Amino acid sequence: MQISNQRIGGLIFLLFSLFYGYFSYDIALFPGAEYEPFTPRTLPQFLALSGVICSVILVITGGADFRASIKHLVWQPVAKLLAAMFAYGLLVNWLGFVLATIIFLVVSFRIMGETKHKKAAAIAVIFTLVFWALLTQILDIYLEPGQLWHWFNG
Amino acid sequence: MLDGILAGLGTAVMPMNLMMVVVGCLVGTFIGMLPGLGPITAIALMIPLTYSLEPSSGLILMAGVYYGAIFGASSSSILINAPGCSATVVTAFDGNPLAKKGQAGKALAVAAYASFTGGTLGAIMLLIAAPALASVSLSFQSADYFALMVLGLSAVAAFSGKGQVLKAIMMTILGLMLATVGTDRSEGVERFTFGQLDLIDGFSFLLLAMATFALAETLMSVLKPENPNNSATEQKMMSELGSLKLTKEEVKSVAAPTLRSSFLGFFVGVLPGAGATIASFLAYGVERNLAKPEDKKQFGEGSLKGLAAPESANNAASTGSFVPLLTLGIPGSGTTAVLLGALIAYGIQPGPRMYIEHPDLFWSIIISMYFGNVILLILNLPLIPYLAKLLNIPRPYLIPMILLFSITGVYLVSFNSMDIMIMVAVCMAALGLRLLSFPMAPMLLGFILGGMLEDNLRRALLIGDGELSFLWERPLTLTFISIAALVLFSPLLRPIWERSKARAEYEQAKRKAATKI
Repeated sequence: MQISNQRIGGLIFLLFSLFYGYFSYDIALFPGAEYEPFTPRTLPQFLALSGVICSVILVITGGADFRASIKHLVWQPVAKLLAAMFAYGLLVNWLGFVLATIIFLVVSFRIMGETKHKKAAAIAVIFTLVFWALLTQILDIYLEPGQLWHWFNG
Repeated sequence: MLDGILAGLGTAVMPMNLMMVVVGCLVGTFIGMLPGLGPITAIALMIPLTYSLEPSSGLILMAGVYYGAIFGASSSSILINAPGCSATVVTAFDGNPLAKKGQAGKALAVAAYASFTGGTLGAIMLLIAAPALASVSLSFQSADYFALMVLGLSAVAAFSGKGQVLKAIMMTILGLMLATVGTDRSEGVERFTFGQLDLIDGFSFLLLAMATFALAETLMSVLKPENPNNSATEQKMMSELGSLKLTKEEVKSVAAPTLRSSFLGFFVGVLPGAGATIASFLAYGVERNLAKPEDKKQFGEGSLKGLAAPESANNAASTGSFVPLLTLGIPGSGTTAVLLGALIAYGIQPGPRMYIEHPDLFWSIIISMYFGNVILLILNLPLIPYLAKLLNIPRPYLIPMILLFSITGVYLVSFNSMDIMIMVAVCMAALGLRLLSFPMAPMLLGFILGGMLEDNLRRALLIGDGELSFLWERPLTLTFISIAALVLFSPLLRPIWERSKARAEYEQAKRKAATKI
């Protein structure tokens, strides 16, 4: 049996379904619920079983002809952009929306291959300020200035 | 009904709502023109902005974005042979050859007029079909709803393309599994929360839609850079479109295919799961078969009929897909699933009751969809060269900005920075699944229908004393279940049938050869 993309997908889904099915037994039931026709466990267990059946079929029938080339994929900027977004999530409450957004944009422009730093910084600042004005002044959305702001302003 | 229509018209012509249609169409056209970003992404990006608006204005904006995105996707199909969404893949078959012949303006005009006709006829049919279906669906019981949802989910899986059916079923199951995370709606017990407070309310629909579509589609365009920057020829093509005028003969030649495809598209769109992609392929195939032999040769080489047919069909199908959403509360496609998520977020449950309880909202959406078509024709068509210039924004700037819109879109609703991190994790999983060719729309549909499906199944089982006989006791339930089984198993059984047919043919040929000898 050759390893193909389809079979890999099937195996991952099989593991996920088994994991899901296993934890479906952790769902609490009220006393006497075992005599009920439908409990909070019913659908999850049916789904887990269906997931297992489908993934086993995919593993068995998934041929090797569907292999997509992963050689030409440009992984590096994608991984860096994901990391930048994750960092944005970590920093936004500390730095506040404006500062975190400017930093995120400058870093992302750089990741995407922009080499002119001054231009990138100018665009990031202008774009963030316009976006901030749109959110706070027009759409009336309150944006928390961030922990850093509170520290500096007591 | 007339009162409702007038109330809807009154809401739709309010200056704010008219502005929303215009803005929606323009923004939708721009997002739709970006290769790889489809209507689901366009609507998902708009959801956070609509929370500060009235429900009617928000939904009108999203309806405008939907139409605009399809129109924009058609434009990029014609101009740069890069369909913005699957529904406009067929548009490129004849649209792009026309553009290459220097008739990009004509191709865009045919696409716009055909879309307008499809949209107009679709809106008229929606006007007739929606109230009729809404009144019929008032007699639906839990068992019927459950069966109808099973039909919708099966159809989405079955229509997802050759070799994709099993994967689409798996993604539907995944969507249903994700919908079970959180607090159980009937008994209030926690399911799959692992003690995490962030998971008690389950996954946010917006987060899931943004992560699996807006973020994942944008990052996929970085991962697989097919057309990093538009070539000089494409840029020239976009700025010099040529004449937008059509001759009398050309109008005559496309009139019949446009009308036929509009009707076909609408009925395909109404079917749960079928949607605009199938409608456009079907319309193209039908017109090709109906064409005279000399016209048939033109298909694929720049035939106006071949361009008008899918364009009118996909627009009519988009309108048709609103029928099950507005009257039954069951989305038939990924895009209408996102719209359903938005409606629920507003506290509005689409379905037959919506027609009775919010007639102004119901009709204003339908009327605004028509306004959207008019706007696309009179405003967007002349603006295409300028909108196309926006496509020349360098990718190093464009991609991060779309990513920022996506993540802040989720953050600004919950103000929970944890959501951004969950979004990144979901996006990574979505990228992996996309690389393994798993379709995402069935997952979203499964997720949005999961809660309703479980509620109706529970009710049907409790009413039926735990017996599964509810599946065949009512003729309506039995019909839906039978169609679902047929739809679901026919693609799975097709390879077996084809193999046995091939074997039979081989045996026959062998026998013939033996008799000759």
